[in-house]
Amino acid sequence: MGAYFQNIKDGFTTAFEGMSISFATMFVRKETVQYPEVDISSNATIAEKYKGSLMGMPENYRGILDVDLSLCTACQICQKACPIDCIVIDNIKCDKTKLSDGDGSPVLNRFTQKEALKTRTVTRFDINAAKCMYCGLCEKACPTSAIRHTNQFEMNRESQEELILRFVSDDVKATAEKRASEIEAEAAAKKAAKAKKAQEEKAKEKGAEE
Amino acid sequence: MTSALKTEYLTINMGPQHPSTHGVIRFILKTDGEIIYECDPDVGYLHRGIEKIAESVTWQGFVPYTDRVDYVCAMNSNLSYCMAVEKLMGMETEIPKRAEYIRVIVSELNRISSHAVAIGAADMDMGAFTPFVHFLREREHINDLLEMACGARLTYNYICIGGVHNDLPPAFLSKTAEFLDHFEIVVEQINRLISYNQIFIKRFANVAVVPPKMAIDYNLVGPNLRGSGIKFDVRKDKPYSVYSDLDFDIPIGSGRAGTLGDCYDRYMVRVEEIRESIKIIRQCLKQIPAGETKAIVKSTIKPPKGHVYFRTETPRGDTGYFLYSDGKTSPTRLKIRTGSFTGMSIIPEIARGVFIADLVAIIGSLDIVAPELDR
Repeated sequence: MGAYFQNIKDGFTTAFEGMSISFATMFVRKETVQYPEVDISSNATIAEKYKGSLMGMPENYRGILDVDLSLCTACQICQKACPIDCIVIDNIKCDKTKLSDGDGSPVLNRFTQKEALKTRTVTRFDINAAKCMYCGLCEKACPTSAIRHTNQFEMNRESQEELILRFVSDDVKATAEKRASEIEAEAAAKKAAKAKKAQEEKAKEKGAEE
Repeated sequence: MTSALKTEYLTINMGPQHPSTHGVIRFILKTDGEIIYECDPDVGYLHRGIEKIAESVTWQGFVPYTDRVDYVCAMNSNLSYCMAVEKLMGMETEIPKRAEYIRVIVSELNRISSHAVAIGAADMDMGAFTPFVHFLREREHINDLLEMACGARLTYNYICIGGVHNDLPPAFLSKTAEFLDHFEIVVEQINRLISYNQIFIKRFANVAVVPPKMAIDYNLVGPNLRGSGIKFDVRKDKPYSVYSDLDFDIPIGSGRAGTLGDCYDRYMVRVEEIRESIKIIRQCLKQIPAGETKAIVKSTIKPPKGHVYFRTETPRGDTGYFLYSDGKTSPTRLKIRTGSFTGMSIIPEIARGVFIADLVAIIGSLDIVAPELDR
C-alpha cells in the first residue's frame, strides 16, 4: 500500500519537474525560422529578421544545377558520373578554342592543371530537375567547374516537362550545327585537295619513271 | 445448456499507415480482446530494390543510394559502404588521417541526431509530445552543422571512396565544440523532462523483456543488443577507422527500472550513447590533424575480383555491406545487412501476450526505421 502511494507521489513530483522545464522553455529564444518571410539564403540575410541561433544556407548548398556553357567543353564526364542519368548531352565539332575567364585568363583543368581546350560544343544540355537527386557527383567530376549547384531550391512548375532545364536554345543549336557542317565541309574539301595533290604527285612520279 | 461460449480471435491490421510505425510497416495482429495473441509483421512496403540498382551504377555512383538506405543516419551508411569498397580495393591504409577523423566526427554527429529522433519518437508514441519537439530543435543544429560541411541536410553524400569530398569549412570545428557544450546540458534537461519521469518509467519498465540469450538467438544488434546487457559494439570489438585511438565506454542495460532487457533499458542505452558520442567528438576535435582529406582515386574504379564483407556500427546497430566484384565498373552483387531487420524479426516473439498499446512501445524502443528494413 505504501508503494502505491509512493508511486503516485513520484509520478506527481517528476511530472512537475518536467513541467518546470517546459515552463522554462517559454523564455528561451525561439528557434523557428518563419521561412518565406525570413530570407534564409545566407548567414547575413537570415540575421536581418531572425533572432534564433540557426544558420542560413551555406555557400556550398546543393540546390538546383546550373551550367555555365562558356566553360563547358562538352566532355560528357558529368553525364557519366550521374547515377540516375538525369543529364543528357549531345555534342558536335566546333572550332578549336582555349577557354578563358571573363578577364581573359585561361581556364585550367582542375585535375590535370592544363589549359582546357574546347574542340566540341554542346547542342543539347538537358538536366531533369525532377529526377535529379542533388548528390553533387557531377559537380565534383566536372574538370572546368562549368556545372555547379546553386543556392536555388524553389522550383514549382505546372508540369514535369517544364522541370527539364534546357540550357542550349534552339538558335544556339542551329548556329552550332551550321558551323559544324561548315567545319565538316572545310575538312572534306581539305581532304579532297590533299587526295588530289597526292594523285597528281603520283601521276608525276609515274610520268618521270616512264 | 452447458456449451461454453465460443471466443474467436479477432484479426486486425496495424498499419501500413499507422502514426506510430514511422514509415510503412504493417502488423497483422490476432487479438484476444486487448491482448495480442499473435503478431505477424509484414515487411516490404518500402522496398526500392537498392541492392539491384547497385548492379547497374558505378561504384562511386552508389554512394548517394546508401544515403537512402537509412536516411536518419545517412552519414553512417556512407561510411559503411565506402569503407567496404576501400577494403575491397586494398587501400585502407592510404586514407589520410584527417579524412578519418572527419569521418568519425560527422558520423558521430549523425549518431546523436539519429538517437535524438529515436528517443523523441519513442516518447511521442507514449503520448509525450514535448520531448520530441525539444529533440527536433536540437537536431536542427546538427543538420546545420552537417549542411555546412557538405551542402545537404539529410542525404549528405559527403564521405566518398578514398576520404571525404571536401575539407571542413574553417568555422565547423569551433561551431561543433560550441554545440556540444550546449547540447550536453540540453540532454540532461530532456532527461529530467521525460527519461526520469516516473509515469514514463512505469510505462516502459518490464515491457517486452528480451533476455540476453534471446537477444543473441535472434541476432539483435546495436543498442537493442546492448540493452539486453551484452557488451558488444563493433567500434570497440572490431575497431575500424580511428576508433581504436579514442577512449569511450559501451553503455549497456542493467535493468535500472525493472527487468534486464526491457524497453526502458533499450531506451536508456540510447541516451547514454548520446553522451558517449559527445565524448568521442570532443576527443576528435582535439586530435584532428591537418593535411589532405582525400586519397588519390581514379575516376573509374575497377576493384579486383573477389568479395568482401565490412561491418560498422550505425545507430541502428551492426550494418554490414557485402560486395562481390568481378573486376567491372559496377558491383556484381551487393547485399546490405541492417539492424532494423533483426529488430523486426524479434517482434513476433516478444509481442505475444502484451497489450496492443505496448506494441507501440516495443516498436519505439527497438528503433525500427522502415526504409532500412526493406532497402
